[in-house]
Amino acid sequence: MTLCGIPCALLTCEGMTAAGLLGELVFEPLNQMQGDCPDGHALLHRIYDRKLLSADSSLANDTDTLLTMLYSGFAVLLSEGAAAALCFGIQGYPARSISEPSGELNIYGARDGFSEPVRVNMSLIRRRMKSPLLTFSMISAGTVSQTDLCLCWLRDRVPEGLIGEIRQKLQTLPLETVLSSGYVRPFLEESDMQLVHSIGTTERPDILCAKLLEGRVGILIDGTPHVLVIPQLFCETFQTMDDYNYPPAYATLLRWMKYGAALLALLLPAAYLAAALWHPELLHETLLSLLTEAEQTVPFSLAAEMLGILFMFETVREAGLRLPKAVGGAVGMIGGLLIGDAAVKSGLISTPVLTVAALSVTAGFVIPEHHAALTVLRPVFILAAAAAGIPGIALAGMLLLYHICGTEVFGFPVSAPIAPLMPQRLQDILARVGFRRLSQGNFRVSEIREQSEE
Amino acid sequence: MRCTVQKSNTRRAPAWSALQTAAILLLCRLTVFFCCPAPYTAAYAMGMLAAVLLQAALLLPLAKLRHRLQIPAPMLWIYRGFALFLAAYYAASGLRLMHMLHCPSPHLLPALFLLTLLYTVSRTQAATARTAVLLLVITAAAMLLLPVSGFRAAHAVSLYLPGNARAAFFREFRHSGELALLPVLLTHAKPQEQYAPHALTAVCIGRAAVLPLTVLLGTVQNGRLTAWEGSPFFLLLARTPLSDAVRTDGFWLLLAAGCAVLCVTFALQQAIPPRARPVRAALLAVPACAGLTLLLSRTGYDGTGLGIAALLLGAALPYACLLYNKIKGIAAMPRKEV
Repeated sequence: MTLCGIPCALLTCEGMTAAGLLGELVFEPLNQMQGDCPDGHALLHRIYDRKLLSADSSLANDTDTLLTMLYSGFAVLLSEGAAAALCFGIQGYPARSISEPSGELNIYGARDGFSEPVRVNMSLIRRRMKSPLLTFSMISAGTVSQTDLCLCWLRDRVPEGLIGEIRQKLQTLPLETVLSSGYVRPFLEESDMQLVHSIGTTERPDILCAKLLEGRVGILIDGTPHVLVIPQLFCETFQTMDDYNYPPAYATLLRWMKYGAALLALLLPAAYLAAALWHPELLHETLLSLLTEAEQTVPFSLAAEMLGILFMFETVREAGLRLPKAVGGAVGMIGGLLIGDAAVKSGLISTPVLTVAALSVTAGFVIPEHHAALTVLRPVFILAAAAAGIPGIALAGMLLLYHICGTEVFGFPVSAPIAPLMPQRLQDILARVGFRRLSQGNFRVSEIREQSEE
Repeated sequence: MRCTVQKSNTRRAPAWSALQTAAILLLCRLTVFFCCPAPYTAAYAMGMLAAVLLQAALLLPLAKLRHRLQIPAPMLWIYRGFALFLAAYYAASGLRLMHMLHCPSPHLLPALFLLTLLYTVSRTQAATARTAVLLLVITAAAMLLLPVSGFRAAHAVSLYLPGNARAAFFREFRHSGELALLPVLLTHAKPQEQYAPHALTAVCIGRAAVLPLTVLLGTVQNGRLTAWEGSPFFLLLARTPLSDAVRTDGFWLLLAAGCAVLCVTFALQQAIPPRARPVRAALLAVPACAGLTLLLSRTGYDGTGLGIAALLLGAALPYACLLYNKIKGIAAMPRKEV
């Protein structure tokens, strides 16, 4: 096309721009332009300075920037004789609408969750936090994909230097592409072998806002609804948004139930094995005779039986997860009821072992955050118990405690506020006190870093 | 008393808080308590209390430490040797308990113990300090369960059983080897004016409160070992007929083994120079400790002399350091006073 007597070209990437916006914000104003321009450079500056085409417009001075803008959904205006190009933000690619996150359901909280476009997610946060202290900072990561990452934090409550440390690590990511939060997290954590994550994820803007208020940093990644939160303390994995909507007494009860469920999920199969194999004196006589009777017809050792059931469970779970929802549910039913029932009736497994395994796995669902860790640790504890009874469990337990207590991220020990002990901060760990007391001493994660650095 | 930081022994050592210091020292004592057979009588608790009070009086001068202590390098090496010996003593005690309780896999268990140590020793000292606090919290919660679990079958009359207070007094001194490490812990304490008094107060009060009280509660509880069969719904709190003490409960067995790992790790980490590479140092220190443990187990060493020597060494160390530095003419390193 020709504008003011100068040949021009408008480039867009198919499927990345909104056709309506293109006509309304670009073509119409450009068609209305009148008069002459001496050269292309003057034309671009005239448009850039005087014409309001879109709120998000910028000049690209080199080919790399131009291509990045073009592939990000910008419309790019080239003009004969100009060394730069003018970019208009009229992105309009298809995106999933905002919906309730399936992984973090709650009863009383908000129903909206993060979506894939990073700018939509930024708006979800901004809607809840109208503070000028809320800061967003964009970074590109991935040498090929140039994925947009967005750091967000509240300026007045993030520890000094933390943003710089995070930004430095993100800018030096040795990745060609960033497709999900799992790509970034290992490079921010201290070790690849961490079973307990020191960096959390959330799909809920309300949870992220609560974390930002405590002085944490969020990392939004374009293309994924999972936002990274730095740091995540181990105790927090037992907390949900609903805890703060229930009455404190009920929330406290729920919290202790979760602690108990975590112990059951991890230790029950191992404790059962240790007691049945090595410490039968720990069991009541009636229970002991029941177990002995049940195990008499089973052809496998107790440890093999337990490991086999847990393996089968994980297989059924994985199959149910990957299949279409309608079929997945049926697989779960068949696996859980039919195979389990048939295996018990045929005498391949005993009812007590199946009960213990099912109890342990069900208890693990109470804390989905730790599902991966529990799946790895359960066999370790079972083998330790099978090899050395209760002392074996103690040794495995000490390995786990050391692992948790030794895990840090950017100077924050994940075992806080229990170790290092911060008694005044236990009110939201041992119990869920009322909001009047919670609001008296607002918690900041910087306290933990200061205490461990002293 | 004025002391300063010596760079060589503080560069990589973490800053321990008063609570962490107290936690690790208390757990060391509890480990030996769990691992060595002790008669549960009121007289034993009395003897123990008297010993603990005397120890507190001996350690009291350390409370005057208002600055970090500078320990000369030769003395540090003596302490590292002592820490290695202490680690072996804890390991031997732990294995002896497992043997006494007829724990399964007598050959596999030491191997697993060594593997665990290789991992824990290679972790940071900060991890040990945090684990100690966590374990102390668990122990304290378990202590609260003691009177509850023994309520149904509490036999107060067992408090009047005959016992030997004098034997308990000397036994307490024999089993207090960990106190020698107190001055070394103070060398990498947090630079707070009140650190040493706080740490010492926590150690002394903790020892005076926890140890005799555990014996008393155990004594009162002994009735349930014969009167109560145990409930399958409290699996780990049920009785075992293999021994006659509360520690033979499943939970105490769990705790004793955990404490043993922690204490051996702590002592070995004290034995390792701060600048050494963690994994390499663990690969050297753990086998050395294993060899020494084997030696102690074979000779049946029961800690005689270790505790008393350690206590005297611990109480006298700060003064010895000052004297040594004065004789050698080592000037105090300039440091901003706290």
